[in-house]
Amino acid sequence: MEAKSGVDRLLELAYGNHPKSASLKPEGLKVLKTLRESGAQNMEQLFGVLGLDPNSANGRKHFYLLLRPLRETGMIATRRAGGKAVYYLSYEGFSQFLREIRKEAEYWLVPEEPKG
Amino acid sequence: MAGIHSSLVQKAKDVLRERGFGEDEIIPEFKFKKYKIDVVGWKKSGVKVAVECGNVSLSKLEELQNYFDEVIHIPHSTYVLDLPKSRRVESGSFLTLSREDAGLKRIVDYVYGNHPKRQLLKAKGAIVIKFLREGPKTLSELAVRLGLDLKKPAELSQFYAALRPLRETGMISTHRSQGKTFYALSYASFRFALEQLRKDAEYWLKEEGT
Repeated sequence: MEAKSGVDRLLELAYGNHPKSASLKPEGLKVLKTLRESGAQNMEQLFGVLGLDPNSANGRKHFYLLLRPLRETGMIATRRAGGKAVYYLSYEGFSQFLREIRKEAEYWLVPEEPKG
Repeated sequence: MAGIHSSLVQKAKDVLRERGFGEDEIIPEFKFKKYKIDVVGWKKSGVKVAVECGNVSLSKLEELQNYFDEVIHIPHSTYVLDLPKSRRVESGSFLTLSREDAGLKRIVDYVYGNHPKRQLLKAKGAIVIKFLREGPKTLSELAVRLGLDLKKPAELSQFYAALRPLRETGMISTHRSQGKTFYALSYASFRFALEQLRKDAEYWLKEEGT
């Protein structure tokens, strides 16, 4: 079995193993790489990187579908700058996501004290 | 056996009542496609819940999932939660997860992902975690709790399919003792897996040069 790289593990966590959402991983990787190498990007810039048309309904739908898992896991975040939404990497946001899972695991994966 | 089944059907109705279904919204022996579903809750708002009692094939549950908002399976050996009051779930905790169990749901979502074939395994995974919180269990004890007969090849493969993701993420581990395999929870190794993810993120989720 091929060993997974760090970014593969992150993308698998974000997009899961559903065939449809997992097919978004290569584009998700493109987003992460761009934000990592070029810093925060506005929507138009990301549309350009992904080769999507911001004026088409399908292009916008695909863009939001693609970014939602990364946002839900805290890996990327947005802020407003100059009236535009700017996307940036968020290690802090993802750490918070992991902390919440760890907190639940602390409860659920530790055997209960025997009663009495 | 019929008596046991009708008591499970009664439980199914109770679960639906607790979920806010009115008497006229609870339909027993609901005919749907080629199936007869033990109890269906159908709200006027359109929310549909199917409840199957006792023995049922996995393929039936999987197909029903395509048409109902929620599919609940109440097995013969009904599992009663034994949690501290702060985390207690009063109903709906058979082979489905209640909303109050959000923490456990978050964990099983993490483990099983979003693949359609793995959705039914999540409920089994939740049962395994809850059961192992009591302490290590043998393979056959786990199988009984899951209502699976390991002598049947299909159920044996279901058993391992349910446990594999838990093992792969380090949540449960096994050890041999007195010739038997014991399963136990393993917070330490799961934490190690999370730590690995944090390290990955340290590289990938920080801008270059920061």
